[in-house]
Amino acid sequence: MITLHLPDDLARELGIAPHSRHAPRQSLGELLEAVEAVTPGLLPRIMEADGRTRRHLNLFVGETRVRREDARGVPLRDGDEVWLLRAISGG
Amino acid sequence: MDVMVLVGTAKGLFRFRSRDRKGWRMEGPDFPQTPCYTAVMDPRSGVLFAGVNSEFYGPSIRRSRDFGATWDAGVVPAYGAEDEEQVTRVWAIAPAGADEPRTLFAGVEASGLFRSDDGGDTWAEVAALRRHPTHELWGPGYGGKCLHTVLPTDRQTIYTACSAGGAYRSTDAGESFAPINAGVEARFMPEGQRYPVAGQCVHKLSFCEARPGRVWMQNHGGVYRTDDGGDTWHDVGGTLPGDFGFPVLAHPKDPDTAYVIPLQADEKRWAKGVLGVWSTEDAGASWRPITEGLPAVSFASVLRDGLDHDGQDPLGLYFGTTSGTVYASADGGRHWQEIAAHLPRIFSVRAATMA
Repeated sequence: MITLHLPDDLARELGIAPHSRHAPRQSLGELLEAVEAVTPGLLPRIMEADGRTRRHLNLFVGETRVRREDARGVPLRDGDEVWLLRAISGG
Repeated sequence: MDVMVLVGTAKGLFRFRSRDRKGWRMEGPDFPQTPCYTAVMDPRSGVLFAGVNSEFYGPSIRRSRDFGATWDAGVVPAYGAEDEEQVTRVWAIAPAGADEPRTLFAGVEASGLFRSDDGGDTWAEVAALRRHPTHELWGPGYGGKCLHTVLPTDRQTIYTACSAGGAYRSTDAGESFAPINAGVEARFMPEGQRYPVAGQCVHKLSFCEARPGRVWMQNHGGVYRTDDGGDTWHDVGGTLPGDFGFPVLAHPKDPDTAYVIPLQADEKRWAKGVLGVWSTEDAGASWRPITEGLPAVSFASVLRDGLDHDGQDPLGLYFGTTSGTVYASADGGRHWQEIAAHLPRIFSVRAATMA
């Protein structure tokens, strides 16, 4: 399973739990699309239309910070923990 | 009937309600710590819409069916993945007429127009506007490259204004647009180039419901009026203490009455003396201050969406300042009272009568 951790304010806005477990996916993009399918509005709040992570958000897979330019393609493995965090640059 | 005043600020949406327009009760803030550039009540349904511009999660158009007690997750408007521009903020939300009860428009940054025909469930770009050849003349004003005004005046006619880009009009329900900036000055351009076809920094348009074809404009320098739907504009700001400002507001019933909030100048964005409303009752030939009850000295200003009326008789007027104060008048501006202070920077004030 993969665990997804969302900021409390985003989870509250979307009416979902901030911490959730999901079936294993091949990539970060696949995971977020799967969550988007049941929680419309999540993906466009995390990523720009061109696929980059929004400028003032940080994505981590385990201890690795994901580059905003190629987040979708980052491979995932069973047991990974994915963290979405608000960057301090956003205010 | 209650009046609700929606106040969009840098740190969320504040709602004020009153039965008698004297005592006001504050509700909210909604979307705390998140800039809310605009919020409106759809007069056809009573549904509230808000343009919420998160620095983290991007812009969204949110809905409330219970006067703000709860809000849905809304829609994140976006241009296509291959588009050179991105939607970064929602600046304007405008319900269409009663004969199109599910249609709304939204103006966004980077300047563009969106439309919903299902009451806000889904939104799609009205692509003809950004496809106009003059789109290349558009640039950002200090507030951003934003389409801040959308006025759908009938099924076929839509006025828009963007900063900096100018005013545009569609007479075929958004299938095509044409710039309507003839006679409007762009003082920031070199001499000899100050009347371009587009690219003006229009700050606000206000449509005159009592006389179709009459539209008021507060420009980045200059107050203008058109009587022919924008084909020709007349400079009517000459007798004001300053013709720089942001909001302009048409009276809902009297076609010759309008309101502006003049600031000294582009380089001095505060009032000369009392920060207050000036009104004309002769279509702009003369203006007079209506400032009783307002502070004698203020260095605040009022942004483009910071002035509105409630449509009642006598007319209720409302404005909010960049220093977080909201003033209201229940008698057409003859007397003002402070109904809120120390709010965050105010982007927008919208008044509505609750059915």
